[in-house]
Amino acid sequence: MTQYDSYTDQTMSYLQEYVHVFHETNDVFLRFRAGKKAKRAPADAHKTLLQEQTEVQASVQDLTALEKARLQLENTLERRELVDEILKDGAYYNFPKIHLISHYAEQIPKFSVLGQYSTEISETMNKAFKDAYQRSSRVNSMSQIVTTYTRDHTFPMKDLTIKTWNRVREEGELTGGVGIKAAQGQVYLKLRGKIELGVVGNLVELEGSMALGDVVLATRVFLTQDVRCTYSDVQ
Amino acid sequence: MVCGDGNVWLCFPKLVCWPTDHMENATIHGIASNRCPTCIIPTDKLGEYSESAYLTCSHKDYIAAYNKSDESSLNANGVKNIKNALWSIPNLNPPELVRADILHNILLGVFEHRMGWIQGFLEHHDRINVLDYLWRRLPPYSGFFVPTKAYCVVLQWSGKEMQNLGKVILGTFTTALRRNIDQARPTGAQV
Repeated sequence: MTQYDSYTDQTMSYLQEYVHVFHETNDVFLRFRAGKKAKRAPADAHKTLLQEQTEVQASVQDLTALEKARLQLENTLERRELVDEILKDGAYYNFPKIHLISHYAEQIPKFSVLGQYSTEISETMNKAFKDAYQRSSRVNSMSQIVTTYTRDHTFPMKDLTIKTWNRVREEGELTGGVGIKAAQGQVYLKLRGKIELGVVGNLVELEGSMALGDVVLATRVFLTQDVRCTYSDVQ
Repeated sequence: MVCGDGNVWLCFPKLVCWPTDHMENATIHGIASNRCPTCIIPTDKLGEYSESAYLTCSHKDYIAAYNKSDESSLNANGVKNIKNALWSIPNLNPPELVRADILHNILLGVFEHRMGWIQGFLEHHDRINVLDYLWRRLPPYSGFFVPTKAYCVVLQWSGKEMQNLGKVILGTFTTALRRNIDQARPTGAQV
């Protein structure tokens, strides 16, 4: 009931009813809840009872084959009952995860369906770190994990940026520095950076700081991009 | 805070939920691992069904007990005698942070326990081989991926595998119980 993407009063009543029925009928599985410690006691008791039964069976003479078979069957059932009883005594359902289910019926009406709060999404993010550790030399792995993770993260980011640039170019949106060739773009951005930092303020400074070819390139891009963006009627 | 659109906003951050598994919840709430982070249910009642809900944990009382160094009171409520970081956050009631975690609580928690019980039950009634046989022969269906290994061979289950298993376990379990012998049904050629 917790896996569904929506809920109604009826589904909530189903959830509560199922939890109730589970607690009513969970005795069926109780003997299988016994831990290693609880399993040792019935094994010893079974052994002792088997010895007693064998002694009793040996002392009784004059039994027909049918009576012997019946006695053996009774003894087997007695041993099975004893083991069941001891296992059930040593087993219980008192663990927090069973109890936490009872809070689901309160939380769903308050915060909506449970799928959105599942840690499944955040747990999948651990995979990148685990992969990075596998690719490390396992010696001082922390810095290697950070480097690998950063690199793996950077590539998809670059891919996204390139996709956006392509989309913008296809749509014909004239945004400064977007949708131009890589070599032109580098020179253009370098020029923009220098202007913003105040390194370049006039043409003389520009000639001093950049190669002539770069200046021509950057100026052409500047004219086709920035000027056209600002004054849309200039062609 | 400067927003992506260039506007400056006045922000009031509020911690509203902390989705984690139970052990992490026990750590951040400073409680024993056999205690509920939301309510004050006693440890020996965790496996019982209760018609009425138990009271919510009162962290105000825990703070008062901690300030008085009343260790016995804290121990009685299963609270560790340490200063909890959540107590210093304004307008925060720690039990309200707890959210149901399907992955750890249901898929890798109760489901995994349940599979252990079912396996024990079928072993006890000599039907475990039938379960394996049925498990390998499950047909493909929309939203269900066919298991490639026998049930008993798999040592560790992932959340998705458990979710997949949850869709078919009831049918497989009842069919296994309905078989008379703990063997695969013979094929036409074997007959």
